[in-house]
Amino acid sequence: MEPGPLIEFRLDRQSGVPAYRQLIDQVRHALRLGLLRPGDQLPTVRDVVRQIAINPNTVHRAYRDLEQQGLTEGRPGSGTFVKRTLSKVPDEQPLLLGRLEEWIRAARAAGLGDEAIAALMAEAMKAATDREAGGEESP
Amino acid sequence: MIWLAWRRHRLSVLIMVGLTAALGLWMAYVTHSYDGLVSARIPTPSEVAQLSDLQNQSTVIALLLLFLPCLIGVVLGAPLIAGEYRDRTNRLAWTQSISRTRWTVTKWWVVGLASVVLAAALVPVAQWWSGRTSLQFGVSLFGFAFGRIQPHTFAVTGVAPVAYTLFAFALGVTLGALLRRTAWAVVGTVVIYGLLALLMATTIRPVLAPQVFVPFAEGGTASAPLTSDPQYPWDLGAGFRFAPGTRVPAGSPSASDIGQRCVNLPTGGPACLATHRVQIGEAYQPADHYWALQWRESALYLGLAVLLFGVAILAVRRMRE
Amino acid sequence: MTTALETVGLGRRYRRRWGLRDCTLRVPTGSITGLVGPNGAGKSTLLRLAAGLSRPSAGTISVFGRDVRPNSTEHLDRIGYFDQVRPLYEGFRVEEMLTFGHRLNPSWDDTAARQWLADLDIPLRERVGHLSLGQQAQVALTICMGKRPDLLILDEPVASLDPLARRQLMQTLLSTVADRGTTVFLSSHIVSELEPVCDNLIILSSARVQISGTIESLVADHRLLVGPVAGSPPQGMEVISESRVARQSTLLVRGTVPTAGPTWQVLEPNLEEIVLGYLGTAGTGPVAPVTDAAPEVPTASAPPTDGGPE
Repeated sequence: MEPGPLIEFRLDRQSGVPAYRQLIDQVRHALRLGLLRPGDQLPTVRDVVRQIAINPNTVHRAYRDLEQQGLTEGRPGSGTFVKRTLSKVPDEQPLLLGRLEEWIRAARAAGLGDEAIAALMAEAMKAATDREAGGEESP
Repeated sequence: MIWLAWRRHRLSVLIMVGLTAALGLWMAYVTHSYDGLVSARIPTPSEVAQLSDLQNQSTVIALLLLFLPCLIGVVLGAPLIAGEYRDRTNRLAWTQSISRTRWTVTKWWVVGLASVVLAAALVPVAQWWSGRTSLQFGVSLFGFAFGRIQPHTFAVTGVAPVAYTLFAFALGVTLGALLRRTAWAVVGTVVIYGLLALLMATTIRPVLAPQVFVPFAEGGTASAPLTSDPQYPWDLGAGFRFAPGTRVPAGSPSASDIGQRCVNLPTGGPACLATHRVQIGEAYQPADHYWALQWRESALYLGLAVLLFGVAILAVRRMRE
Repeated sequence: MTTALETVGLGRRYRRRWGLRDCTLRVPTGSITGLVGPNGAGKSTLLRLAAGLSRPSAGTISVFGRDVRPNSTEHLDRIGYFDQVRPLYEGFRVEEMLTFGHRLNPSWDDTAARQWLADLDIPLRERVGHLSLGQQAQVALTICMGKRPDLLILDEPVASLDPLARRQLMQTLLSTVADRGTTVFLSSHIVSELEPVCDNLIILSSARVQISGTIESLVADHRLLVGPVAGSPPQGMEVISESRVARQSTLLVRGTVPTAGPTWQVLEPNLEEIVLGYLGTAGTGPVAPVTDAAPEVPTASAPPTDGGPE
C-alpha cells in the first residue's frame, strides 16, 4: 500500500462547472487512463480538502455519486475504494475519431463555421453530462 | 490567567521596580553621605557646601516620593485595560473560554499586588531617610517644623503610601476602562489623584481625629510644641471654638461665624468673643495622633480603591464593540 | 441541535445609524456558511454579535439554542472567533500564544495546535510581530481552532493575504473542519473565494440581508435575461437588478422563466453575477414584480411608474 493519496485533484474555479462535478469527472478520467484500478483507495476527504481547499461536503457528495454510479464503494472506517474500471479508451478511440470527423464534415457542408461547430459540441456535451448525472450512464 | 496577566504586564512592572529601586538607592546614598559629613564639631565651609547639596537632593527625593504612588498608578494602572482596547486584543481575550470578570479581576490583583509590594518595600527606606535627614537638617521641605505627622512626611511614611498606591492604581485602571484611551486615563489619574491629595491634606485629614485647641489666652501660639515628644505636632492654624461647657442651642451660628464677626469689629473684639463664649486659639493635631490618622486615611483610600475596582469590572462587562 | 446559529429580527445600532437591521437567518449545524457583501454592509457587526463581543439593539441571536450572552463561558466554550484585524500579542513568541490558548481554554488541544504550526513550518520561538502576514493569520487561526469549538466564526480570514497564504489558510481551516464537522460561518467580499468552500451563502448589503440560501438553490433560482432595451420583459418575474447600455438590457431575475419570448435570451448567471445583482439594489430590497401594463421598463431602484391601463 503506497503512502499518501494516489491521485491529485485540481479545481477550475472559473469554469462554471460545479466543484463536485469536476471531482467526479477527474475520477472517471483517472479510471479510464488506468491510474486508478479496482481495489485502489481514493484520496480521503481530508486529503482532498488539504490539496484544493474546498468544502468537505462537496467531496462527500462526489464520492456518493461515484458510489451510486457503481464505480466505487465506501468501507466504513477505511475510506472509499474503486470497485470497477472504465478503461475502454484504447479499443474505442479510432472508431470514435472516425465518426467525429464524419460529423464535422457534415456540419461544414451544412454551412456551419468552426465557431458554430464548437458551440454545438459544447452544448451536446453539456446535455449528455446532465443526463449522466441523472444516473443513466452511456459507456 | 495569572500567567497571562504577569506575561502581559511584566515589562512595566519591572520598569517600576527599577525606578523604585533607583529611588531607594538614591535615598540610601544621601543618608549615608550625610552621616559621613555630620559630627559633633562645627562643619567646615566645604562640608557646609556638601550638606547644602545633599539638602537639595533631599528636596527632589521628597517630591519624587510624593509623586511615586501616582506614577505607579499611571504606569501600571492606566494601560491595564485601555491598552487592550487600543490593540484590539480585548477581542482576542474575550472570545477565549474565560469570563470577562475573571479576566479583569486576575489582571487587577496580579498587577495591583505588584504595585502594593513596591510601595510597601520603599516605605521603610523612606522612613529611614526622612527620619535621619530631617532630624539633622532641623527643617525639611517647605520650611515647616519636622515630624512625621507633618503633611509631607505623613504622606511617605507608615501605611498611607501603600493605600495611596493602590488607589492610584485602581483609578488608572478604571479610567482606562471607562475612557478606553491610555493617554486620557493618565491625565485623569494625575488630575484626580492630585486634587484628592490636596483635599485630604487641607480639609479631611485635619478632622479625622479630634483636634487639640489651645486658646491664645492660655499660651497657644503658632509654634509651641504641646508634648515633650521631640516630634512637632501638626499646626492647623488659628481658629475659633466655643468655650468648654458652653451649651450651644441648635440652629445657632458656628463658632467660626461668630468669631469672624467679632474680630472684624473695629473695637471691642475680645469683649464680643467673651460675650458669646467663643475662644480664639491655635488648633493642632498632636504627634501621637499619627497612627490614628494613618489608618483612617488609608481606610478611605482603600474604600475608594475597592469602589473603583467594582466600577472597572462593570465597565468591562458592559463594554460593547 | 440542528441549528448552530439563529437570529430573529437582529439589529445593532451605533448612535445614529444601524449597522445591522431586521436580520433573520439560520446557520445549520455542520455547514459552511458564507457571508458576502461590500465593506460597511454589516458583516463584521453580525459576526461580532455572534461572538458575544457586541450586544443586540433589537431582536435575538442564539448559538446552539442558547441566547448569546457576552459574559457566559458556556457560549465561549463552543465558539472560536477570528477577528478581521487578527489581534495577537505582538511581543509574545508563537509558543507563548499557544500557552495563552492552553491556559485560557479548558478544551485546548495542544498536540493538534503544535502540529498545525509544524506542518506550515512556523517557528515556535519567533516573535509574533516578526512573522509574515500569512503566518500571523495562521497563528490566529490556530488559537481559535485549538480549543476545538463547535462553531467557528471568521471575519474576512483571507483578506489582504497573498494567494499562497490564502490557499494555505483555507486548507488548514477546511481539513480541520473535515475532521470534526465543525460549523463554519465566515465572511468575505470575494465571491470566488467563497463559492468552492460554502454550502450556503448570505448576501448582506446596507445593513440588511438581501437573500440567503444554498449556493445551488441560489444559482438554480436566478436567471439572466438579455435583450433589447426597447423590449418589455416577460411578466410575473421578480427583477433583482438591471443593467442597460445603448442597445441592450440585462436583467437579473428570480424565479424560473417558462417562456421568455423570442426577444429575450435566458442564461444561467454565475454566483458572482447574482451577488453583484443584489448588491446593486442598495438596500431597497427586491423590486416588485413587473406588470404587463407598465409603459416603460422600470429600473431596479424605482417602483413601476404606472399602475395600469386607464
